Amino acid sequence: MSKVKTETNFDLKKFIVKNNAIMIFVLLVVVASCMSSNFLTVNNIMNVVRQQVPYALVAIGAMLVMMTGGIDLSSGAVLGGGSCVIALFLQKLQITSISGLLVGLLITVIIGAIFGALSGFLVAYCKIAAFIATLAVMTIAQGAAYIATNGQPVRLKAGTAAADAMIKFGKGKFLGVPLGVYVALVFILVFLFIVNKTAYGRLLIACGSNEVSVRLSGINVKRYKLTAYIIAGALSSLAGTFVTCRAASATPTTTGGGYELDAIAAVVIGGASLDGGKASVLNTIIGVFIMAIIGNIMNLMSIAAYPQKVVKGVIIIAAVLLQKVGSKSQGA
Amino acid sequence: MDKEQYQIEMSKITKKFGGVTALDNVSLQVKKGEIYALMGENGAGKSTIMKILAGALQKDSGEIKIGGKAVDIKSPKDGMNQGISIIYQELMLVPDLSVAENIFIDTLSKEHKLINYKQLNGEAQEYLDAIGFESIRASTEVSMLTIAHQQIVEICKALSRKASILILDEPTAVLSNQEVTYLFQLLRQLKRGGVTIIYISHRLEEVLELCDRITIMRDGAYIETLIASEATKKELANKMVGRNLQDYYPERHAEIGPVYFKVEHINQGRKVRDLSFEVRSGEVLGINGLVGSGRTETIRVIFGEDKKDSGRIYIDGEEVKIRSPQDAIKHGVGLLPEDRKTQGVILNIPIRNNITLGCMKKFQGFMGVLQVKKESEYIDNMVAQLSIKVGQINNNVSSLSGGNQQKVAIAKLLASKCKVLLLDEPTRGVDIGAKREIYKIINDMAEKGFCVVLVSSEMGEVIGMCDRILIMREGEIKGELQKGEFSEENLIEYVMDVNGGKMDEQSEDRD
Repeated sequence: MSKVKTETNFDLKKFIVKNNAIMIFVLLVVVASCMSSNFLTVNNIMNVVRQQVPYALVAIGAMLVMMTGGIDLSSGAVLGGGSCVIALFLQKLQITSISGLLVGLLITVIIGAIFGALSGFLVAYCKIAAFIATLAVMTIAQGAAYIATNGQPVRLKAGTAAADAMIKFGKGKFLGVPLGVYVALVFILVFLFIVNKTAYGRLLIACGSNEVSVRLSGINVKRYKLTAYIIAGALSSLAGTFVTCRAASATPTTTGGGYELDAIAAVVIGGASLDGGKASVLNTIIGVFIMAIIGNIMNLMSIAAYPQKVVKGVIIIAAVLLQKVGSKSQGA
Repeated sequence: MDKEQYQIEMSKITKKFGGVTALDNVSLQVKKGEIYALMGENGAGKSTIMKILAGALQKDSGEIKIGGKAVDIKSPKDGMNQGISIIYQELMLVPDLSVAENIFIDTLSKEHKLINYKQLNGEAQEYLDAIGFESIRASTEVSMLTIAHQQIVEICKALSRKASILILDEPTAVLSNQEVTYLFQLLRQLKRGGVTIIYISHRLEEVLELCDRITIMRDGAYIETLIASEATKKELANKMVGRNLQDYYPERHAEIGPVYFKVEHINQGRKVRDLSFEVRSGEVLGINGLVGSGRTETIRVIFGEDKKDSGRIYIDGEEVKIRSPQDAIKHGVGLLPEDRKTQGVILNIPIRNNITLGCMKKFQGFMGVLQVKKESEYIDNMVAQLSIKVGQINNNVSSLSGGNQQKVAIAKLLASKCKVLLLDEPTRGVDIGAKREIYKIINDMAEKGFCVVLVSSEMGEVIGMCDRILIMREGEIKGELQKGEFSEENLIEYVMDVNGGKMDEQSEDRD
C-alpha cells in the first residue's frame, strides 16, 4: 500500500502535495516506532489493523457520501444498530444454524441500507441539508436500537453453531492476520474498482463536483446521491456485525458512538473535499490508519483517554491544514 | 501631452489564468477628470485589467502608478485607499439592507457602535439628492429598487468613499434607454466634479456619445487609443474585431426542412408568458433580448430544468412531456447552458469525463466497467472534429482556455445525440478565434439537419448567425424578424421599449 507512483519528471513539491496523506502516515509510523519499542511488533500491528476493520468500512461509506457533496452523521448509529440487530437475531429468535446466521447478516445489511435510503431520500429528493437529515436518521437509529434491546447489552451465548462462528470469526486468524482484515481488503478492492473503473464511480464524482452540470447533461443526480447513502448505510451496518463478533455482544449504549466522526475525519485527512467530488479510496484508508496510529501511540505511551481526545483533535486539525496548504500551492 | 498629467498609468501588465494569457503586456494611461472608455469584445481582457487596478485580481507582472507614484494594490481595500471604486455588472449590494446601510456598509461597524439611523439616512439622502435622485429614499430596502436605481446606490457608495476614480463595468447592459440617458447625465456631472471615470463597454454608440478617449483591447492585448470625437463606429468595430465584420460569420449551406420542434403557450409565472415558436430542421432560430427579458428562463423551462405552469412541446409533430432535463435529452432536446463554468462543464474533473458524461452507457462493458480504449477513440474523434485544443484528455477542464472549455461543453452536448440544440449564449466569454470556430460548429449542426435555437444578447451574433430572430421583452415574444429585415436598428426597436432607437439617433446627430 505504501508503494507510490512516481512521475516521469520528478517534482518534489508536487510529489509531496499529491501524496501528503501517505507522507503523514509514514511520518507517524516513524515517530511511533521511535516513541515506543512496542509499536513495530507483529502483535501490536495486527491489533491495530483488526480494530480498524469496522472503521474502514464506515469510512468507505462516508467517502462515497462525501463524494456527492453530502455528509453522513448517521453511520455510527447505524453501525450500533447493525451490531444489535445481528445479536438480537441470534439470541431472541434462537437462530443456531450457520445458514440462519447468513440470513441474519443479510437482514442486518438490508436494515442498514434502509436507514441509508431514508437519509438519501431526505437529502436527494426532499432537499434537506445532509447534515440535518442524517442527524435525524442518527437519532432514529439510536432510538430504534434502544427500543429493540431495552437498552440492555445483548450477549452472544456460545454453544450454538451460529454464535460460535461469530465469536470464532472475531478472534480467528489466517496466516497470522485477523479474518476481518481479509473481508475489509475485499471491500477496499471492490470499491477501488467501483470508484475508478466504472461509470457509476465516475458519475458519483461528477455529481459531487458540479451537480448542476451533471443534471443538465440529462443524468438523474438524485438517484446517484441516493445510492451513495444506501451503500454507506449497508456498509455501516455490516461494520456493526464485525463489532459484535469481536466483543461477542452488542450494547446500544456504547456501540457506534463516534464512529461517524472518526470516519469523516479519516476521509478528510485522506484529502477529500467537503464540497464533494474529490476523494480516493486508498487515501481514505490511509486516513483511517493515520487516525488509528495516533490512538495507538498514545495507548502505548499510557496516555489517559481524556487527554488522548484533545491530542487527537489537534492532530486532525494539523493534518487537514497541511492538506489545505498543499492544495493551495498546487492549485490556481 | 505631458506625462505628469496622467492620473493612472498602468504599464506592461501581464496576467495569466492557468495556461491562458488574459493580459499580455498591456499598458494604458488615464487622464484626471476624463471619461475614458475601455472597449473590446467579450474576453478582450478589459474587465480583467480593471479588476487588477481595483485590487480584485493580482497582476503577474507590470507596474501601476497613481498620480505619478508607483503603488502596490493587493486587495480591494488597497484600491479603495487609492480612491478607486469599481462597479461591477453584477452589483455588490446586500439586498436585504436599506439604501443607506448599503452606501455606508464598510464604515457601519467601525464608526458607529450604535447606529443612528436618522443621521445615517440623512447623510445617505444627501448623496442621493446631490446627484439628482431624490426619488430614491435612503431608508428603502435595496431589493425594492429597480436595477437602474441599484446602480445609482452603487455610485453613491463609491462617492461616499471619496472615490476619485470610478470604474463602471458594462453598466448599461441591464438598463433601458431612458435609464441610460440618466446615467450618462450623472456621469458627466461627476466628471465636472473632477472624478475620473473608466467606462468598460462593447457598445459603440454609447462610447462615442459619452467618452473622451477610447482604448481598444483585443484578445488580452492593447490595440490602440483613439480620441472619441475623431473616431467612427465602423473604425471602432473593425479594430475591436480585428478583421472586417463581413467575413466574421462563416457561411452556411443548410437546407431548411419541415418544422421539427414546436412549443406552444409556454407559461411560467411572470417570467415566461404565453410563448410559442417553431423551429425547422436545419434552421438556426435566434432569441434576443436584454438581461431579464426571459430568454434564459424560456430555454430552461423548455428543457425541463424549471417547472412550467402550462404549455405543450412537440417534436416532429408529436407531443412530448418534458418534466426534467433527463426527459428532454431522452426526447433529443439538449441544452448548452448559459454559464459555462458553473453549468456547462465540470471544471475540476478531466476533459475525458466531461465529454462522455452523458453517453457513458455506450462504453460500459461487463459489470459496468468502462472500456477506456473505446472511449478514448470516441473522444479523440470528437476533439478533432471540434478542433478542441487539449493537452491531454486526462487533464482537468480547468486547464483549458474559455473557448476550449466551451467546446468541451459542446462536445458533451453533441455526445448526447440530441437533434434539437438549445444554445444559451454559446460564445460568452470566449476569444474571437474560438467564437468563429463555435459558429462553424453551429453551422455544421444546422447543415446536418439539427434544429438550433441560439439565445444571445449580442445583436451582431444573432444577425450574423440566424435564419430568423425572435425578440423577447418582459417574458413575451415582442417581435419576429425574417432574414431580410435584420438590422441593429430593427432589433433595438423591439428590444427596448417604445423609445427604442433613441440613443442611436443621438449618436448620429453628433456625427
